Amino acid sequence: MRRFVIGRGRNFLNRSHQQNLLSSSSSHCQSRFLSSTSVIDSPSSSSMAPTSSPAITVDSLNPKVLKCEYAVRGEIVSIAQRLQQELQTNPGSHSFDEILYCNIGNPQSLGQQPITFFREVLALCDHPSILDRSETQGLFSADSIERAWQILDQIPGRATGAYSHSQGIKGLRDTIAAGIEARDGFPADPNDIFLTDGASPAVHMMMQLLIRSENDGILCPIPQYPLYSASIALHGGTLVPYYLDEATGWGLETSEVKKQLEAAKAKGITVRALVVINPGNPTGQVLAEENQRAIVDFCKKEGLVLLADEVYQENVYVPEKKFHSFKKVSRSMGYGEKDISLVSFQSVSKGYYGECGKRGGYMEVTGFSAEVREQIYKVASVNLCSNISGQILASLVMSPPKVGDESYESYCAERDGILSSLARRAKTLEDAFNSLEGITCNKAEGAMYLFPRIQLPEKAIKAAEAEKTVPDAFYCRRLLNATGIVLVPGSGFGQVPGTWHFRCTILPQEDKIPAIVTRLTDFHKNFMDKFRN
Amino acid sequence: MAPKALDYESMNENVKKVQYAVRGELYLRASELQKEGKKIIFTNVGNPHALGQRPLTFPRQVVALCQAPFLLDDPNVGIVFPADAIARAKHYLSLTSGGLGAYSDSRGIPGVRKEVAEFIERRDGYPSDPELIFLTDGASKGVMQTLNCVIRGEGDGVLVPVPQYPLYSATISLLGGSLVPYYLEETANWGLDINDLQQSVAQARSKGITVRAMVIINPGNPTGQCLSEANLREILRFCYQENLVLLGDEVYQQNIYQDERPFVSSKKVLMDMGLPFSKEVQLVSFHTVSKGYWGECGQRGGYFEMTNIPPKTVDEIYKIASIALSPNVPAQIFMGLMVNPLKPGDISYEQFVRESKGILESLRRRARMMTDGFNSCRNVVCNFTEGAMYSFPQIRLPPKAIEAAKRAGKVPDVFYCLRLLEATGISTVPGSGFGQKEGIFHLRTTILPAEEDMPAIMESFKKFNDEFMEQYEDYRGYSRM
Repeated sequence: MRRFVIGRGRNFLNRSHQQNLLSSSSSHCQSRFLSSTSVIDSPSSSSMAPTSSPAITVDSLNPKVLKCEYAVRGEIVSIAQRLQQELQTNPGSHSFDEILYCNIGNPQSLGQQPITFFREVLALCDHPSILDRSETQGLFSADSIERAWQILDQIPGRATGAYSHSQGIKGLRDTIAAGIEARDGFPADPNDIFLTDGASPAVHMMMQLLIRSENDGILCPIPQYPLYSASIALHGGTLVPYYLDEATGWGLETSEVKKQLEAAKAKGITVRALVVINPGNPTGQVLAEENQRAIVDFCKKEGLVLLADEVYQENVYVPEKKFHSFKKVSRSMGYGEKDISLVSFQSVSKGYYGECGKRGGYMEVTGFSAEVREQIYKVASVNLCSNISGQILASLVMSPPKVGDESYESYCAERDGILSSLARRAKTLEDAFNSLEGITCNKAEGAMYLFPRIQLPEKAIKAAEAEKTVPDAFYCRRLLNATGIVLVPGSGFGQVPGTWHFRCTILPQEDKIPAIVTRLTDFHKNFMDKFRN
Repeated sequence: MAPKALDYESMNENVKKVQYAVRGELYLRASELQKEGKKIIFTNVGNPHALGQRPLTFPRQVVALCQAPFLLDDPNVGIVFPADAIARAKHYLSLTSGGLGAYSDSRGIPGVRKEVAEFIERRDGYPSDPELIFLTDGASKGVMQTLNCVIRGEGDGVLVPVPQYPLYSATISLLGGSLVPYYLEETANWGLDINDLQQSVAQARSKGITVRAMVIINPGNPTGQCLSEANLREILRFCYQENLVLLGDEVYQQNIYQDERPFVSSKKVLMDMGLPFSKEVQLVSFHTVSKGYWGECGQRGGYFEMTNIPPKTVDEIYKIASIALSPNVPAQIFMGLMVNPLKPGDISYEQFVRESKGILESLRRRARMMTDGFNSCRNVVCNFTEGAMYSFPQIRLPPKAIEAAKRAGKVPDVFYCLRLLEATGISTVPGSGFGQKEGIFHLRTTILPAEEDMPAIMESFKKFNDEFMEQYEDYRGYSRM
């Protein structure tokens, strides 16, 4: 019987997490704030010293905060940062001379270049007063100038520094809706769109609405991107896992989802929503359309909200698969607002644009009552609005240059260059992993990651336990210390108990890939030599 | 088909309880009227650029260059951008880990946090540790993160001033905590009385609530009062005695319109107090690029600084920040520019000073104009806006008006504000959105409309108000004896 393993694994991670963080932060002792000269104002006040310890300590923190975890930036990253510092202060102290961060989908930190047209428009919107100067024509493409004017005209007073409508600037939502329609062939309503600081805050918003107590469950794929587990924990709900099938390329079977749904119900959990990440993270699979239809039908029948994380929609590397949005699939099945509650998430962080640092994204919310939508709006309004530059970028991503535009060809060249390079790197790394002893790696059909499975020898597992570490974290830590390569242990994403994985991004620049493969291969051979049974 | 998973009834109750009047009923009605073609003056939100305040030139130049670094390679860039902006853009780009498009450290770019620490040190005269400074997507996010750590359930209470900026009440509702109000005294210039504070805490405790934190907004929102050093010392001592973490919302620290009480930070006062306070009292201080004379609301840039928060707790807060990956990078650069301003001798220095002074001096004048304007109206009494960006006049509604409101199914100040909106296009926020003493009504407006528009706006208001008062005051006809 499968059980969601994160619980047990988490305890190991927690303990070592605490240890490392304590040691790394002992230098931030509070004694720096001792005041040298001042005297207490009135002597009598010292008699009213509080008898209890400070109000906010780890023991008195919100337990949901303590419970949640996010391995992508967890312990392994702290170690990497320490190593990086050591390399800086003491070059040659390690057998590698740089840290290679393959833990996080952060393309531009590894040399990927932004799309020129997008940055031109953003720069002009940041500093619109130069649009009045003739010299500006010499610095920017004509269509970027035109697009900037168009966007600024949609912003009251051209004030890009003002809070906008809490759902985002109307004109930009119109553009995004048109982009969704062009993509899907079905209309989109700008009033269904909520622009957010990245897709993550939108996910949090939905969890906030859906989760009333720990009796509310959210179905999540295992393995999953740990935003979901963290968000569910933060909001006090229960994660109901459904396992993707590694043997069939991380296939999603509705029979498995149904089984988990029933098991949860039997435990008294009200299951409220189904999270589907397509293309998958960390697994990279692109769902087949008929699979998606089955999922839509399932949600409709079971009365679940479908939360469709589609942030990797522009990252598809195999010709036999294509991205289809769940919105399109639902509408093509004849399902409308009354039939299915669907929230679709998109972001400016991935695709070929990779603009993580901008924090741009949106959710398209369909199939909810007016009262629910009012509540969603209300929650969005407490934060006033998302950052304007990110909003503009989201609209550009959904309406890039077209045939005939001055920047069209250079835009296509940049886009295709990045995407074809990603496809090549995905293949190179997949083959490299598959060539290693005891490692099997499914193809990355999409997204930005590989999630190889590693059969760790018994000796290694015992050694890990002796160090009070989860076996895949043990492997990743040793890999990091030997090669400077930062991966994320599979236990951070969830996996079938007794199996071990790690996630590696395909993002280091192409010229770095051979060195990575060599280092990985050498390390792995040594590791297996040491721990082989 | 099974019933829908998410309908109004089955939604998280905490969400339903949330109220945020700043973008509530009045704002929605104003937006409707605007769509119908009516000219609306939005004074519901502290949103300077929406009312014509221009962005400062220098930061926009720098961030534009950071957005499009290929410009830096263009030989003609110097024609459009001054040399110091170019240099600054290169400086900030070098601090990032891949330009504006890469996630930064979840706490914010280390180099920028260092600049923030240096700013705090210059301002207060005490060292500040960049490791204890987290940049956030606006100060509001930082407030939410902090309260999320503090509130475990409805048994946990947070002291909040009344009137308050409703981010606090909304967040406490959302997190399922308890708001413990302490009333500011309008007749004493919105002053804070420690005895009243003590009473509020005692009352809460008698109801079984553990009071964990106290919020102060200094300068105040909506009230504008600037706390004196003595006041701050009292508050800090109170927090020490009652074991409360102090949340110091200091986003308006650059908006000061009188000279008697310049801004002094809670951190500085705490450090001045020395032991045991300086080492024991827990403090989280918030700042932003949205206010001051920058008014860059749309960037969503802010930070919080932690004082006397234990390392393990800081780690947990870091963990939560890491789930959101990173704050947006352009706003981090705005923050760097704000705390690390131009110096005399820099090419753009004079223009920058001219622009900044122009805005601040105008705000000071508008604060005065608005206060005086309100005080000249019938049944309206208005404390001076000492700081921040708002005016919060008290509207003494006659009983007949209150009855009319009741008949219309509206809270009295909402009724008044809706009528004001329909008559003049001025969109305000009713005082009930901020909290007020029972039976006393206010509205909040901003001092942000352009200076040249102010006289007409105040005239328009006066006309409406005096007519309203005449309509509802009991001067005509029958005796009530």
